[in-house]
Amino acid sequence: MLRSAQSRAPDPRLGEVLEAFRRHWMTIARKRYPRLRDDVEDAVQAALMKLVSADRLAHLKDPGRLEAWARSIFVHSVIDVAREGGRHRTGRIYLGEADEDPEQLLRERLPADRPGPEDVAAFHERLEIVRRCIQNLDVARLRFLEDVPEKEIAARQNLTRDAVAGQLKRIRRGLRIALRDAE
Amino acid sequence: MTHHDCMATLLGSDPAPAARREAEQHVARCSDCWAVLSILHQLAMRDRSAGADRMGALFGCGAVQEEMYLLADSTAEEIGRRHPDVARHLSSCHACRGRFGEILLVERAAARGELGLPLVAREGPRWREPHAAAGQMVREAVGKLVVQLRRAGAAFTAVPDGFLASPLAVPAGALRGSADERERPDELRLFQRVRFTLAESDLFVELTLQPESRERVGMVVHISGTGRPRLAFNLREIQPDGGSLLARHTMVGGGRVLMRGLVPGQYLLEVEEKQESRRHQVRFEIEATA
Repeated sequence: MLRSAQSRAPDPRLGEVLEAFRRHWMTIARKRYPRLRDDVEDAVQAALMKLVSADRLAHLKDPGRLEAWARSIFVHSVIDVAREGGRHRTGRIYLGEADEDPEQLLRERLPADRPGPEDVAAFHERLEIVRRCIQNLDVARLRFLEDVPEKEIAARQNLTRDAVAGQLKRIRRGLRIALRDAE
Repeated sequence: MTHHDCMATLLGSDPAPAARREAEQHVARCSDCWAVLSILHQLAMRDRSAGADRMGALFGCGAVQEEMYLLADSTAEEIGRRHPDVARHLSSCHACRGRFGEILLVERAAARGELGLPLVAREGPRWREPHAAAGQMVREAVGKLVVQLRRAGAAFTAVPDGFLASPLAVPAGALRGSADERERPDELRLFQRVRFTLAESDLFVELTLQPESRERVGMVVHISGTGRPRLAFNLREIQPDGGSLLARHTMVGGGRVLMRGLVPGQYLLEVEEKQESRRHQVRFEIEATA
């Protein structure tokens, strides 16, 4: 029935089924994510789109667990919406009960495992990419927010002055394009 | 380090080198924080940062997040045995750990019946296969069966998927309260009787509660089906240091057993089909209300 959403003639019961999922998810949201308020609707809409996506349905390994699968899609959507809205950084988005310590639950439910050599290699590669990304952001922050001269930025970031000037030029060009787009 | 601390450190002025290193390592282990950082980079530089296109593959969170719903009712031992890659990923990825923790809590609420009626009707319960001695087949019902000792009488308040449950006849006084309270969609559902079929078997089991007091409850176990298999019914109390056998009955073809005086605790109910060397197990918990 969910697959029929992508067809020319969707199942006539599809609307009713999607509405049932929407109500179920709103119950979860009322209980666990009351702080998200209006953003919950965005999460529900995003989750409904995923629920009928052919790509997502192709990954449904156990159709007997459709309801749990749909709930996981909704939870991921809520976390994505919260992350985009900045709430991910500013604290928990859900209301935990006194007996609900997710870390405790994870310790009980996950085997104690150590990363293998491939995981360690991937971690180091990610770390390098993260460092490069942060270095770029640092240059922008130091120049535009903290008004640090280019020469000092170069010294602090261990870069040549030309490299700093080149980065700032790219940032200014980006800002000009962004401002033109906004107009 | 939390996601919040991590971002505050990286975006703040001149963080201490140790704090900065820790924050960088957090991002390298957290696809959610990386997504935030990557968006900031794109906004500031109008371009993706070098290597950003490889990050999805390097994190490998997509496949893990797709499968989280399959793990929600598995034990640590089962996750380690059946999904070793996922278990390893969850041991180090902050983003996926957080998401999986939240999914576990939501699934626990669903199993307790706190999220309303199931949307999808199942034909029968699901069974997992715990380790068993050679030649023995063991099936354990997936999900939680909970009995609560309430003022108005004992009731099943959480029932595994695929169990058929019959509502408790609630006295009119028990529903007194404001209209809002009565209409709450997440109101606990109360059942007096549950019935379920056993996997790969022609037998079914019915459990009926017999309230005794605020501290104790009785339970009638009725096993029936076709044929005349030799059966054994065991009830064990689960304790931190193992389990103790509370009751054992043997029967042919089925029968009815009344267990009196069950007190709050964790129990394991077991039906053994001797000729088939097959055992079905259902865990249940008796809770006292405050």
